[in-house]
Amino acid sequence: MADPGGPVIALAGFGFRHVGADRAALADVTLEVRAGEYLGVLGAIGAGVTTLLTSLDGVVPQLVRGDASGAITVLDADPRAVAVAEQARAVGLVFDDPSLASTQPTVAEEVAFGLENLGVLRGEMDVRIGAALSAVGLAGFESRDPLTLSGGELQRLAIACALVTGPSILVLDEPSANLDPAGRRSIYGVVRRLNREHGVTVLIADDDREAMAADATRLVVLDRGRVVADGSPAEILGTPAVLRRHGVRSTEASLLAERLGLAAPVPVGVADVGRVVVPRAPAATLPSRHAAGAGLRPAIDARDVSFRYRGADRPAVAGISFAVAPGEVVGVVGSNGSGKTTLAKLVNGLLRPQQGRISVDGMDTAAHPVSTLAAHVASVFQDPMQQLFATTVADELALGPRAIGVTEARIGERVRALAQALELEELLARHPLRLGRAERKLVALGAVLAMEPRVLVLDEPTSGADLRLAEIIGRQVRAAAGEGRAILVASHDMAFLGRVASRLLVMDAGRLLADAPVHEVFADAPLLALAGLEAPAVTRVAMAAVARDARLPLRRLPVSLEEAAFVLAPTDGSAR
Amino acid sequence: MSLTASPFAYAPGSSWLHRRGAAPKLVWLAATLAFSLVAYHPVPLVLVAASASGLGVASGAGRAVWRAMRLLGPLAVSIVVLQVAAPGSCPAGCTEVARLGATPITAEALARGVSFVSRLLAMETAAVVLLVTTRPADLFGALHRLHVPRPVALLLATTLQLVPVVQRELVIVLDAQRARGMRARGVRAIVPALLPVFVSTFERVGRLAIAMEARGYGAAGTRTSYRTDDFGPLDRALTWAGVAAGILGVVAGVALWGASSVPPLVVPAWSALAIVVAAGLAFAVLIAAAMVAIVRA
Repeated sequence: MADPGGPVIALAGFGFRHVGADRAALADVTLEVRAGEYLGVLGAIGAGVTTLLTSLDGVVPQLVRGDASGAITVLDADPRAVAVAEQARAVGLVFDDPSLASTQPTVAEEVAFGLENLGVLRGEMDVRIGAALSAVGLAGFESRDPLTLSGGELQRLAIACALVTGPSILVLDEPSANLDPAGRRSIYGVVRRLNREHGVTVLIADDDREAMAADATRLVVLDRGRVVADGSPAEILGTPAVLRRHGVRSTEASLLAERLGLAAPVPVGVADVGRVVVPRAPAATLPSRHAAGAGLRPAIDARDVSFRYRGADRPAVAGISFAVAPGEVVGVVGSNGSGKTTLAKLVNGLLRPQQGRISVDGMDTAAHPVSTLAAHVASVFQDPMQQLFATTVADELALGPRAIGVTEARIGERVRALAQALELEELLARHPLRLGRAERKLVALGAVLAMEPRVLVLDEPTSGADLRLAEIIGRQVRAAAGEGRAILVASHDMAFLGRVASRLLVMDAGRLLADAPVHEVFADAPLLALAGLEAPAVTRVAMAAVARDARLPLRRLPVSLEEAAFVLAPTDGSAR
Repeated sequence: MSLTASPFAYAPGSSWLHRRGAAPKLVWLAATLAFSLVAYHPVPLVLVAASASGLGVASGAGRAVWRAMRLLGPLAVSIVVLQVAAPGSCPAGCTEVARLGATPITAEALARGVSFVSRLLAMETAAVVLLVTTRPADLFGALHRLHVPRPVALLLATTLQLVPVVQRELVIVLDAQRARGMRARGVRAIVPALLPVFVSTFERVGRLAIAMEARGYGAAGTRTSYRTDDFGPLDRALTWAGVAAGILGVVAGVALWGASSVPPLVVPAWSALAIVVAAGLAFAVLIAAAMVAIVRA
């Protein structure tokens, strides 16, 4: 048994190098985690976060091969010496893909899978399944088919599956990836309750910095496999400049506080920052975000468009009309299943409207083959793996332009320029499928930018992106808009949309709830609640500041860091 | 939502056949396969295929069976072409009924072709009816009940679950190709799509294997079962009836409808040519249609 009050997890000089890797994924990691801690693990893509988390149940090095060194103990046992399946009694593991927990016909049977494997008697199962489902708020879902659950519900089911074997340690690797804000909140609510009410030790890696700031008792930061910072959320997230050096993003609120010149460690939560800023007096006016092409013929013109998948009980898109001008960036927001991806496929011609009409760059999408439309509208899919076909990065960037008849000389120029802009110059000779996740995403973006389309459709471009990747993507989107391209971005990343979009289409169950300027949407709390969304953190900071001092109303709430820094100022005494 | 439904995927329903346990269905499928392996005469084989199709239609899964058979049918029909192109030996001498260019078409090759088509159709129809009326997870439970070793049962069940996953991946990758201006269709489109599809499928299989291990799969000791025994008297009777039908079928197949029971198909030359050409055309056209269906799915 672990010493009460002693560490339940201890690593001393622990390292791991994947077979054939140039460098170690983990190097000389020394870390102790005590019972009941809620530890957030931060790191850029490739920093070793997943390797660290999966070392705790022995997946590394038992199932992911490589050389491990140093010492590691979990509940006084070395996970390298315990079969991964046996370690399920001590450590529950939850992955970013909740569909991995939808292999059985019912929720109850899905949860029972772990109990069956460990030989738990049938008489005990109902009680344990009931307890696990209650802990994640899924009591009453026992007979549901997992495939009918929403993304958030499915991820909660995955947590129940990890809990049912009775582990005292829960490890979650990107549990809120690909979930809408409501799904994310539900996951964090469950994890918080498990930690605070049931005493489960939690280790979590995730992009949701606000949740980390609110819930974690401690954060560690990894950089190139090494622990480079270890402290409370206030200490770690309160020094955004330090995090930036390691390729890690802090909370949007703390970035605003830093931008406003508050002394480090800056406050990190929305409410904390909202307490120490005020609207500038006289109230500064934000510049409007009109597209250069406003007033020209729309690059995307959708009129009364509907589409229903075969066998579906309702249309995925129902009677939607909107237009996007050249040079305009329009965001598409809504909860999972609201119709965002379907709308994106209707715009690029992969789906044909069953009612209504969409024209792109003046071409009716129903009247032209997708391969012809491709010269005018290009798409970046959510998973870059699905759109990489060539054997080198250079060929991948050239593939699209070659398919639509661009000259080789021009293709060469585009490839060179894009490789530089996307920081891919060193990788041009590599096979795209042998690159890391971040590089694959950049290659997929570059491959469509190389086609110089009039219209660009991006589906969750920042999903899984770290600081560097998100910055490059944001830069390229702004540059493309500056060149007069119309851009449609379907995303759950409100901070990203606040930075780049001028207008938002708010969708719910296939219907268009609103088509309005981004500032209006993010200031409309009832609309956001109806669509299951929330405004960017900087907008909520401004709301808190305005609510505290009604004498200084803002004509328009800021939706990006830059805008917030323009219209807000530190209260007296809080600045450096 | 049937956005990416596989033609071999479970078609939900509450028919008599849907409500039957997977174990008796598996036993009856095994009986059909055994009979189809030993029987050569087309008449009983076609009757078996027709009975299976009738069960599928009566269960409300007729469209699902038809969709699947549109893909499998051409593969069966192609056997006629193969038999003509590479005819087996004729111990009593071959009877040439027509010529296709320099290739003789013999009555024995035609008979063997029709026999093989009948056998394949009987097996395919029975398998498809089982797949479209049985949830994959129930199949897993049935394999367990039939004492198939757990690793084999899990391998079969997860392989079945992967079919729609692979198809979904293929559709997305083909969409991505078209969205990038690539104009290839059919096989020429599918070949470059295979690498990303297989890489992502293998990655998923790897993740699934890790996720299952992390949930205790492979732990030492005796495994228990959550599923209560819903194996009612009717399913039990059907299972034993299936076993009996299988034994009888094998005996009858060997004794009554073996290879020697199939007479040469002596038909007029124009009929022989029509059969071969129609089989060849059907194969080519339906394969092309299947490709288009996959691309457009």
